[in-house]
Amino acid sequence: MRRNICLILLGLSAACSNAGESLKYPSLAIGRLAVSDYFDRDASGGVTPDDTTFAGARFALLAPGGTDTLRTAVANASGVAIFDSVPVGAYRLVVDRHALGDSIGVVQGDTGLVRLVTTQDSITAIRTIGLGYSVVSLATARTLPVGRRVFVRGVVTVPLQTFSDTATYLNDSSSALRVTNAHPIGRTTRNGIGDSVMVLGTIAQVHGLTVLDQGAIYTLAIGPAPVPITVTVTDARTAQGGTLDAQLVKVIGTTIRDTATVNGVFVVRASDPADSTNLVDVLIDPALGAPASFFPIGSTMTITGALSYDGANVWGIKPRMAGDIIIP
Amino acid sequence: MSPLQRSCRRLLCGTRSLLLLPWLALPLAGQSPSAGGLLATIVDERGTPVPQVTVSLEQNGGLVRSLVTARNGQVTFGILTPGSYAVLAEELGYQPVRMHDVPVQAGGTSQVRITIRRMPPPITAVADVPSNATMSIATVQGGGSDRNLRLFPRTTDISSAGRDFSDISVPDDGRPGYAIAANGLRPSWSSLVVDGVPEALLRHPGIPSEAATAPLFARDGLSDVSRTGFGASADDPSVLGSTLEGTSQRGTGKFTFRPWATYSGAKLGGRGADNPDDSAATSIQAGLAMGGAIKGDTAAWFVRGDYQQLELPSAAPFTLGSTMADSDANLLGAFASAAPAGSQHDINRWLAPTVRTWKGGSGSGRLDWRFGPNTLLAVRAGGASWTEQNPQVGTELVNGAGAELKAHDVSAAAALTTGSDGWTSETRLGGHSAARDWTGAPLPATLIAGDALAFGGAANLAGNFKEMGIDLSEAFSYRMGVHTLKVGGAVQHRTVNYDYIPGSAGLYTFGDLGTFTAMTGAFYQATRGAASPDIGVSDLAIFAEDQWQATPAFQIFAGVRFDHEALPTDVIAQDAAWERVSAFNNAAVPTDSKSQDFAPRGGFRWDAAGNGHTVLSGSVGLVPGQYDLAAFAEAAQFDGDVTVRRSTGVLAWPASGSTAGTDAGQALTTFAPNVHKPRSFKTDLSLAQVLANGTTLTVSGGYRHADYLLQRTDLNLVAGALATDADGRPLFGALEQYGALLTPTVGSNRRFPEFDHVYGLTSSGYNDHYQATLALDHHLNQSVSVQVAYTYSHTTDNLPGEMSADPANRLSPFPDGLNGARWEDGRSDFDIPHRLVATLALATPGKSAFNLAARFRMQSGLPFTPGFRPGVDANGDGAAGNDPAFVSPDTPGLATVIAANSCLSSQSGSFAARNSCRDAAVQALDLSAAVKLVHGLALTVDAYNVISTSTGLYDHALVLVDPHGTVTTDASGHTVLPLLANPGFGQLLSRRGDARIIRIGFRVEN
Repeated sequence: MRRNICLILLGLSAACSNAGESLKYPSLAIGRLAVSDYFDRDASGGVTPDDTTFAGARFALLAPGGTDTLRTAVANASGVAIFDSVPVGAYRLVVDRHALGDSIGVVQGDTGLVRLVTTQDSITAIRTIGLGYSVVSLATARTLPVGRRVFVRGVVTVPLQTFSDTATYLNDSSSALRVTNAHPIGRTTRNGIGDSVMVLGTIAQVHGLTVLDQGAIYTLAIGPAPVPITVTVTDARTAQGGTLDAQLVKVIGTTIRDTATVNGVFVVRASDPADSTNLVDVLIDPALGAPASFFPIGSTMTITGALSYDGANVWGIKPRMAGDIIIP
Repeated sequence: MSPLQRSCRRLLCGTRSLLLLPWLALPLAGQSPSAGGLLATIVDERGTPVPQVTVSLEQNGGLVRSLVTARNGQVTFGILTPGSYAVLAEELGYQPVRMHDVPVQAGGTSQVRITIRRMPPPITAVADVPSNATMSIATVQGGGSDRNLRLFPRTTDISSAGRDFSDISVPDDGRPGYAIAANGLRPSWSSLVVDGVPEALLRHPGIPSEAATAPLFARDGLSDVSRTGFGASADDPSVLGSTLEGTSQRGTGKFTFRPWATYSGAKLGGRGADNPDDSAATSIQAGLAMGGAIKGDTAAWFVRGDYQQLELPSAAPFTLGSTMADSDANLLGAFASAAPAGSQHDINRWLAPTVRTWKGGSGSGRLDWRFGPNTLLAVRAGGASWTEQNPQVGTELVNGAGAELKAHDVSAAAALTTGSDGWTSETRLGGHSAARDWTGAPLPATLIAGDALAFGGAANLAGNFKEMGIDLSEAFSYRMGVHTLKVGGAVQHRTVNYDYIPGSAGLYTFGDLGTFTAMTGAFYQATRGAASPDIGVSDLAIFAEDQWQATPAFQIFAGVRFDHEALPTDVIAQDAAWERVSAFNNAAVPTDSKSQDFAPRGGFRWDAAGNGHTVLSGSVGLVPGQYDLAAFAEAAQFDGDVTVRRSTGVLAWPASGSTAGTDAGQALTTFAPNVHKPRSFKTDLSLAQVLANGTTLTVSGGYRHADYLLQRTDLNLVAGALATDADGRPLFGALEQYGALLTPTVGSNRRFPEFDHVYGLTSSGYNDHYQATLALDHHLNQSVSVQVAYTYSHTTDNLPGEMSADPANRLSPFPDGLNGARWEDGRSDFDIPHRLVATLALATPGKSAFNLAARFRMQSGLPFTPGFRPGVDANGDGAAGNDPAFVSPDTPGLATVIAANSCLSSQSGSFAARNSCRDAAVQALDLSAAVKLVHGLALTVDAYNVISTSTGLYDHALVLVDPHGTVTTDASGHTVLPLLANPGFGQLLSRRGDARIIRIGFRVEN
């Protein structure tokens, strides 16, 4: 009987035995998601020797289509963030934009799904995220606040070695922009008209107009020389209300009215042939070295150059080379 | 005494006997699962034992056996078929006495004490006396009457006997069958045993709450029905729920011929609300039971058969009011008009009342042959076949029109019982076969969520279910002084085939009339390749028990049972694609752990005064259950062979298959690697007091803890919530809105896109059930008796969606918990706290005997979770019926609803707790009258639901999706669902329930 009673007691204890027993479905296999970031310094869209790692970037794991963050991880000094113990499944990896600051954006790798599935050897996924300054169009660059570092991509209309002030002029399909204090990156120290370049610089303003200052120029490719926009004398002087600032323009058939040196700059004043009072200044950079005798008063002149602002609501045409000045 | 009087006395005394069962015990000569014993002591008026008295045992007016008393005045009938007997004591010079209604229960020995008085001749009559039987059986629980086999047979089969027990929760939606819950568990955990042999109680496996029927075992073929809540004896296979036990009727030495027939019509006393179309449906029932002797008291036969053709009009399928998303005055007409024209798409039949029919019959027979005084062979066999048209299937909104069930049952069993005063051996062999072939209507199930309307075939049809089983068992008991040892074993093999895929016919869900007209909503269909496999399951049981009569008043028993069940390992195919992505093997098959196969049990019984007037008894033990074969069959079907098709937006209603949706991936069901066989810890305590003036009071209580029940989780739910709504509800899918419908974008809630739902089944489910019963049995006199039994229970578990046919609804809407707790831990879906059964019986003696009986039954309504309309998936997890509402007075109109419902007021500002509200209680009064006319012919009138409450499907939606709103995102990034209060919360959506029926008929009793 004692034995029977013991059996009953044993049974009673067994009845409660599952209280601490895990009866849930075993957790799904877990994997690891390794995120490697780099700072795309040359805006190449891929990893290059010029790029560096980016510490402190904060990454979030989300369900596909979801907005709630499931997990977060922060990149270490090597630019690596690890999501450990991630159950297999599909996820979306995003970069926490708020942690990056205004200038840095994601240039590659945070779209699409990351999928962890079990395999015989590993359930580790590796995702590379490229960070970098935002690449914006020239028109967008003109709208950005001062101090924002951005990449712009454009075609060189005025090479950096053209003028004595180390400025270079770019244009793209949206607009044109002057890059001040420009310097080349890489093995070359020069660039040429028509080169496709990527320029990293800081938005600044000169005489109230937006420029890209401290521009570091990466030459991407060599291309044909851009064709200047043919404008009237009036359009050249006003830059069409400023919209043609830094644009490469061409004015045909002007009449040379005067020459002078103003504030140390040699200026050739030309007018519409039909209206001698409708004038535009042609700014001869010292690097061009053109003497006053080159511009006979009354002569007809077709001039090509970048529109340069003098700070008094007047733009002048700044020829790049002798070929930009045609006096029959 | 006339047969009618005997019938009444059987009711009166049989009920009393049942109520006495738990505490009246005697040392047993040898317990038998299918045979009992009788010890009769004959004394004279001075109490002196009288030897050489001829004691005859009679049943149904026929002689069973005769013996002569020994010197101590006692005679023992060792092996008797359970049932009600009469004991006739005759001796020259004494007035013969016949004691009526002496019950004999399987596994127990009844004791009667008959006093005979000296009487000079001539002696012209036998003195009739009532039973004073006491008996020993510790396993049967009362709480109601089980002997009312001839009373209130609304349905003739054994399963309807559950309505006589207060501790059983019966269906209240018009569906017949044995229990929707027992011990707080779904009915599939209960079983049917007849003559000690397990029988089929075959259910639709996809409807957990279906109360199954067994027309094969008709009331006129049974001599005894009882209910076992706790099989404390080690040889009782027992179940987690309860076991309905019956004993088949046997023939006696007297030839009996008992035809019967009834007629009823929908217009014969029916309610207008139950028959709004004024149908003239009629029902007839007819049967015949015959029995007699083959060879004196050595062999007897019994046969019976019946045929029934029942027609029952349904109530209007929808009770339309202001609760709908559409305010169209003729909403049903509007929907009918919106459906494409043509008879193929005629939806009117589902929007109007229908007539449900049941047509079929059953027949059975039994042969008893006695070889010597202590060897009994009993053989029985029978079959039933029936068809049902337009049956209600589960608790779905659709009214069942167009559905059909073809069913048949066959069963045969034999029992060989032999022994002596010191030992008993019983060998039982049984086999059964059952089949249920369900077909659905050709139109896919279509749900209009916002208006709570449904038409088309039920989403849980079609299905074809078969079960075959063979059982062999042996029990041997041996008495050694004050100890009675018992050992035995049983083997069982079952083969089941559950050919069923939920949603295989397609399910369309629209938001409201506007989106139905525009055909924008959601579509779901599960399609498969191969047919379902046969599943063969073998069970082996070994048991040993000792019953120790420590003192004449104190008895202890203890035993242990070993139950081992083996599931087939070759029917679930391994899905390589799932294993590749998850590393889980979906073909895992649960296996028994030997240590968990042992189930100790024990108990005691203390008869304080030794006269059976005050008895305290108790029992405690473990009951191993059996694996859930419905779940196993699901895993065998969903093993990579089922593909789900889904679509949202513009749909091709009512097309199905490749033209209706796109491939949303495979659907799987898989067991966790550590699934255990379920089991239950049970304990009972009972105090019974026999009071003066024929009143017996019983107070009993029990506790059940079932664990290792299967819980469901979706392994392919997206890795984490996509978003959170403004109330804090995690959203697992991108929600699309179509009028009053919210449904997730296909695939947006999936972890692995090549799969749809992947259900993981774990043993983490549990159920806690407390129960207390107060039973009063009062006999005013020989003609009038009253029995009242009230049961209070409380049930909690972590198994949501048990009432739903959609497996998805058994998922937790908060799989990661809510506020640090498990939301699903709460009141059980089967928590029905109050149940009352009261029976009054009146019998007038004489030639024109008149019997009248009334039964009043009450039970609490089912609990429910305030939520959304069926079809609305508010959290996008793929389950369109498991989301609780957020009880917020800020929801337009909800403050008024909260104030009007006490179950909501305490939940303001939180998600509705599981099953925190409750449907209305259900009451019913049944009447039965019989008047004896001539030659045993009696006119009968039975009236069911003379007084009853309206019941059916209630509106459990606390909030509706505003069809004019849109899903938006607030400033915090939280999703804002467009919700409105449902002013019709808690009101009746669809009237269902037992209709009032008045049957007139006749029967012959001889």
